[in-house]
Amino acid sequence: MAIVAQRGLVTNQTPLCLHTSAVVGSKYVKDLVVGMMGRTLHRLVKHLALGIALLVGLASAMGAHAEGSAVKLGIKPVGVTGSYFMLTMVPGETHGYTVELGNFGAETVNARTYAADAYTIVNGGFGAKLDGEPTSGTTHWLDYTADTIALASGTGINRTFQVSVPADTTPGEYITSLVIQNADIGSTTTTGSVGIRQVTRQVIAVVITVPGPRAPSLEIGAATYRTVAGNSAIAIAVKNTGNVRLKPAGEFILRDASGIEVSRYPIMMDSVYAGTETFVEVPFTGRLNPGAYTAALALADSTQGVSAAAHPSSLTVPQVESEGAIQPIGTAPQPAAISQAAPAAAGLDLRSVLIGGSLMLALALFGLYGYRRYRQTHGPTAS
Amino acid sequence: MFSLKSRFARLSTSLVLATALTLGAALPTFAADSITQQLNGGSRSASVADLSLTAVSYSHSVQAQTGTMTLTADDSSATGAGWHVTIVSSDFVYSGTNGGTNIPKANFSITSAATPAMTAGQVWDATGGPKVPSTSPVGALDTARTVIQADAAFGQGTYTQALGVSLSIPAQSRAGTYTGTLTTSITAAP
Repeated sequence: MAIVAQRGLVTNQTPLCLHTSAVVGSKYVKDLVVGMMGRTLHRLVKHLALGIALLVGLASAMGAHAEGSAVKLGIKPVGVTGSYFMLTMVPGETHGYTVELGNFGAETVNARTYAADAYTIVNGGFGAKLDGEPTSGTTHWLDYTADTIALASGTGINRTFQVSVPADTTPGEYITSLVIQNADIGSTTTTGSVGIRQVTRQVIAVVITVPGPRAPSLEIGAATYRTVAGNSAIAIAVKNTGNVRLKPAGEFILRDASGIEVSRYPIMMDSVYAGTETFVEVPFTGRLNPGAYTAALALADSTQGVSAAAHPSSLTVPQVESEGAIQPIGTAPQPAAISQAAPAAAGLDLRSVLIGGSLMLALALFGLYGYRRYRQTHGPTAS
Repeated sequence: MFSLKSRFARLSTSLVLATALTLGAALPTFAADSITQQLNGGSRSASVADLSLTAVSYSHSVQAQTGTMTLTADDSSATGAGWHVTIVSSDFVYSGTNGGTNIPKANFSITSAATPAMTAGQVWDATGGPKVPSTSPVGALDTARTVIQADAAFGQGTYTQALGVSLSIPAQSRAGTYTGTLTTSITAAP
């Protein structure tokens, strides 16, 4: 990994070029006029040319100012086609690549760049782990060390790095990512008693395909419930157990305990990457009534020729939460089930209950026997 | 008279020359057709601004602090490769003198995502976008969510999107300031 070059970016060079051309133009006009005209006219044209040059320069400055001071960092592959890396490599292969990091904003920015694990976000799509989070798997195939660099406005650098595919890698698609972001999170925007700081990131995928048999496969897992902003949300686990990315679509159906359909919702997931798991999360427009439900999800990717449907998954919508702590996605807020029998009342075990019950029954039978003997001995009383 | 006409002609010629030179510099594409113009791409960027939340006072019960924020996404990469923007939140860290605790990131959520509006560049397209994802992005921001996306060959411009947000303030939260970090990512990926 090395810094190859540092240079100006075209977006910021353009206004500079305009200004330079105007000044050169004014000098040319000056020479022309000196030869052709008198001193008065010369001064007039000179002022005119300077005015034009100033106007063009001012326009350039205004254009740059209009871009504002927002962070505008960029990251893109160099020497390959496309906006991200789509590589095909065999096990054991090592290859070098280059990425360009640029600052397209109006101010110098401390830029942070790093390789981050890629994953499938909720409802599908490419996600990159945050700066400082642990890295693993495919990310370790890259020797792209995290770094913080000061990038002046309108400048960029090239960084080279190597991708090494381990010799024992099986066929399939593997993903990781390269990121650039503002290293200085900056000032806090406060509204009332809540403050917000912001990290703006630009992310590009690094997709490495190891040639070999393609085995698309999809699994659907359990459903879980949580309440978000006062409304119900049901999440169902989805796992790509194959070696190629999928774009599943299908339908979600919710039924109550009596089997009556409560909701039906179409699902169109974005990419679910090979070997990753995520959730389909269905948000509702209100809060479901407390009680038991079953959720069913069927998904298919016709392009890859794979489908999956899960048996209806049971879930419970609890009474309204009062503590205000929203459960993380995929966790079930309902109490854990207990598989043991209910205990007997305090102080009485089963044996005691049986002995006591037998004695009471024997006493009752003895009393009944005595009563019948008494009636037989004394007979009914005449009136 | 002749002299005046001559001076006027020379002045006009000079003005025309000055104008031509200036326009020539400003509009290089109008130059001779043998010139090759290299057009280098810029960047993609996305950020949120104008967050506003309703004010709340102390309460024994859970409170919802609702509001809006505006996402601005720009694709000046000149690649037409498509992109998507995700947002994820951190915990809201307490600072103050009353011994408060952090508000979990799951308590901050997106409650609505409006259809994007174009402010510059390629016209918005109902199919190609930029558009709200088919499966609603509404939900808690403890996990990254795509709020806007553009298919390949779309979204080459600047777009804004109004996002409704809600912060659930736990019961008996202490007085102070709660600060969270939003990470906005614009991504090019298959």
